[in-house]
Amino acid sequence: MGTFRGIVVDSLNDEALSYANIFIEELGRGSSTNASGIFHITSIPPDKFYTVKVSYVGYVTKNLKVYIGRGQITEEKIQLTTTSFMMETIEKLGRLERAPNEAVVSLENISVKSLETLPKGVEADIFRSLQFLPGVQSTGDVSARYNVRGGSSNQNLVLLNGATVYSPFHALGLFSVIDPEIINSVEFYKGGFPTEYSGRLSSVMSIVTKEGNKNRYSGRASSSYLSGKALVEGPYPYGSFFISGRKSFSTDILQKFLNNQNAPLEFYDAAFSASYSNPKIISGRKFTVNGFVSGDIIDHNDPSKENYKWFNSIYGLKWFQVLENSPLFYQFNINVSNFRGEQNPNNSGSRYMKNEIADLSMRTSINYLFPSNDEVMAGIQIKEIDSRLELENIRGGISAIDTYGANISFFAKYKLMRHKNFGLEFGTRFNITRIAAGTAGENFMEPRISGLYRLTDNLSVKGGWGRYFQEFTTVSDENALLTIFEPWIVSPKYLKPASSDHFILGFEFEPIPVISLELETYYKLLSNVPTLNEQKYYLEDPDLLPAAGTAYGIELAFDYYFDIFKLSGGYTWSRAEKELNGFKYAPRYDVRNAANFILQADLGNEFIASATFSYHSGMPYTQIIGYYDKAYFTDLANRYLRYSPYLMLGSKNVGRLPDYHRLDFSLSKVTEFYGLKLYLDVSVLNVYDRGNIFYFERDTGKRVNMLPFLPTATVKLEI
Amino acid sequence: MKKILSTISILGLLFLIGCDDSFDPKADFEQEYIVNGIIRCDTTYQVVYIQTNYNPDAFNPFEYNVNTFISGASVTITYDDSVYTLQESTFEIENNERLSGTAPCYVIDNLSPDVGKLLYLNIVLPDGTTLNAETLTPKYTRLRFDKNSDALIPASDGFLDIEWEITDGDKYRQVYLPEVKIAYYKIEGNDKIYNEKTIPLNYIDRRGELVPNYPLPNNRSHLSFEMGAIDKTMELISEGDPEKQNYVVLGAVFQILLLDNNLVPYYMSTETFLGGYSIILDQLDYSNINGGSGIFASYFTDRTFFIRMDNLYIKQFGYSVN
Repeated sequence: MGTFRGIVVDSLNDEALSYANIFIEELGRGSSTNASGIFHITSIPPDKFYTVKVSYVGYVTKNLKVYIGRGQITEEKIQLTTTSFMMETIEKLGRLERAPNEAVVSLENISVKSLETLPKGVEADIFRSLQFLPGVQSTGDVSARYNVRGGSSNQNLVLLNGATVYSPFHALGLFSVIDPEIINSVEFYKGGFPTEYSGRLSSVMSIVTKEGNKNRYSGRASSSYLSGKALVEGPYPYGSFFISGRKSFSTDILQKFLNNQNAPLEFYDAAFSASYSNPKIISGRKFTVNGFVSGDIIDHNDPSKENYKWFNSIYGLKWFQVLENSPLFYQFNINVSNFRGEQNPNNSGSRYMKNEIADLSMRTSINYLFPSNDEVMAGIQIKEIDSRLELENIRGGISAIDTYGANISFFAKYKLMRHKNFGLEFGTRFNITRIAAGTAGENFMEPRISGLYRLTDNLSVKGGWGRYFQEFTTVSDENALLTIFEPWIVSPKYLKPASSDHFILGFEFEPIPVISLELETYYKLLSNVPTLNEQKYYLEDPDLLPAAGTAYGIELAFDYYFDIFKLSGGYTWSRAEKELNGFKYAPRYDVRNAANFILQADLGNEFIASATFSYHSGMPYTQIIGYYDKAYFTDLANRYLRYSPYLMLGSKNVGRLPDYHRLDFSLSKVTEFYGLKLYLDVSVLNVYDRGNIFYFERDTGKRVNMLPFLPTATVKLEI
Repeated sequence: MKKILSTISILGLLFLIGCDDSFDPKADFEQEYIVNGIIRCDTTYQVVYIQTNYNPDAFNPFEYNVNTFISGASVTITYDDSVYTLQESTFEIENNERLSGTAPCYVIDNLSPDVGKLLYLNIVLPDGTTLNAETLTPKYTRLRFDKNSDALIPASDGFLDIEWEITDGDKYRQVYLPEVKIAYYKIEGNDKIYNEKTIPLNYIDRRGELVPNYPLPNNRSHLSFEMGAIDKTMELISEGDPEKQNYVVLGAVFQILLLDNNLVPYYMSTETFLGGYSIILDQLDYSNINGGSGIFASYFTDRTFFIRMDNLYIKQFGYSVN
């Protein structure tokens, strides 16, 4: 038998293409590239030429002839050429850009190219695009924070080149700190994530940055209402690099998102990557170093108002090694992720807070492909965390919560891929330590399994179960609709690590080549979820209490290609419930019905139009049931009390806000301008000026709506 | 033509659904009774107020001027196996942000409960509704003020630091409300009008308005006051009165109030403030009244400690010294 392996890259810049399809026509099977653009196909009958079809969204499908030798590994670097996004030439690739028997559940591979054609608010944004996925609930127009399948927003892990991003939002949560221009691939797991991922209960977004153009030097610059940005990339001997930066220059448009509140906000982010792979020294080895910094500052320059600062800095080194003529490859990563946030109250009356996290992670993993096409993977991860939260207590004194600890975990999984119509993936993660100090000897297992069975060529059933733990939490008030400072702390040792179990069952169906349907049901059990103790009155009372929860739902997604159009959509029916101290209630993100549609059209002559429509039923809120005169202690010693009207609230989150819906349009055009490539985009948000309620002011009953009708435009210039 | 009609229909539909939904954040109103009974253990005079809740048509409760106090109730407090009946009286409504005039209340003038005792409140309303609650009066606690404390006004480093030591009692569950006041009298002819002015820890600028920040209940043993806050309190003693020399400042007094386990959470529910960009939907409230809402609690004033004030400091405000 023989093996075919290689890398799929963009012909213009040699950038690796993740999740491209590789299909061997004669065998009727294939594989897909991983996040690094690499693929392996084993157990190929040898001594023959095969027709290999390589396809990827937005690229022209390539057919090539490959000779497979006996007992040999045939390597190939396959270059794909981008299409001009003419719909007539785009092939139907379906939603599944992976092997037909790969047992993966709840995974969305997000195409960065598709972001460019979606209507933009202030910036094209990866987080904003999530709201179109079934099972993902946006927290509103005002924030790109998201909830996944009945989990709170602090249960979502965001990884950049394998490093945790602790504060992934710019501008009070309006959009992501990670500029889409630097992204190569995005994997987003809504649940059931495999053993290589850990640390959060609900979702994982793994973002891998580009490595830079390997063929020529290039640069691009763009501007929007809000910020300017630039990227330079190019080759050097045995490697390539990119460096990019983005900085705000006007925040006027943010007022539209922040209910006309003026936020004197400044933000920036910058990233770089450099790779080196010299086959003359050791073939198959590649080193990549990358870095990322971001900052957000709100400085009112007014002592009566509070100021805020947030900073991320991430640096990483990756060593990837493919052994010559061997089905073995391994990878070593070391990452440092630092976060610092500060809320300086000045004389505003709010409380001082400062949060610092230093996260050093080392991880190594090894993959081995059996001739049967099965694959085994094993690894170890050591995560050392130093966190500090300084808080002003009720007396004005500063108290600090410090944690220094390490999580050491082993992970392993086996992928059963030998059967054409059946795939199974099972494994576990064994955490031999907890991060929380004083928990020596505590360990926990995270077993996971998923499977797929292809009933017919166009219908498959899949399912999975997994257990997940989370030791980090934010100190956030569940009643807060909008809070801009959510410090992270390690869950205290008096709480067991928060855990969740995901049960997933689904179907994939392609009735005809231009239509694909996917249905997934999930049931999620949450326990020991740290929740702020609203009834902490004494110093020795715990700050956090363990809550339990359940979430379940059905998600349906489809893609339909016709003429010059692509129509995508999704519908979610879901329920979420939380229990604290024996009291059950619907959390604020318990949205029961949600639907999204995206219609894209290639109008020719480099014009692309798109329309998006989002709907969800109303979020829960607590109703007003009356007022009473509450006694305030002006001078208790002299029994001097002041009486003032006070709201009486009903049972928590029993009421429902009105439904949300919004229609956006976008028109983009690529053209030549004095030899430069010019990208123009005009978007209209909330086309019919729907008054979607954000909240109502309890004092006045005034309804505060989210984003109004808003036209925006962006210009991007590529050199 | 069909396409045009379809487009017009879709746009019309979008226009219709684009209209705001009518939305009422209020649930159906249900009448509830509210009790305010805060027992001061170091006096014999106790008072209990009973009101109903209310539901103004709009969202401005300050415009709802209907008197909601309840008369005709039977109010008793059981203490040490004795039942004390409170008599209905009237009081002049002051410091109520929506009402004025007089209203009924229930008083007793011979109840001075001891420390660490259970009081049981029982109310039977004219409509037969029964409300009840209980409070365990705070335990006596030994306190010792730090002998080495340099508590002196003005403080040289800009902060007046006061320390004390809890030498007995439940150090962890017992909660104190510390207060520092300036004691003074005003000479009006031949009369001396005695008064006190409480000093806040500091002043907070809340959207342009300077708001005093008083100490909150706690169980620690240190307080720090900004000298700027003491200066401002001194100025406020005679605010608007040009005859400063008629004010005689006696000194500063530090005292501690011992609160029961109901007053602390109730007190906390009245003291919240967030950052300017935060939006909190649900506010905390606390009640220990069975069958209704409100508070039945107890406290007493414990030790008093005098803080020296420098004569020159008093005189710089134009005041006289004793």
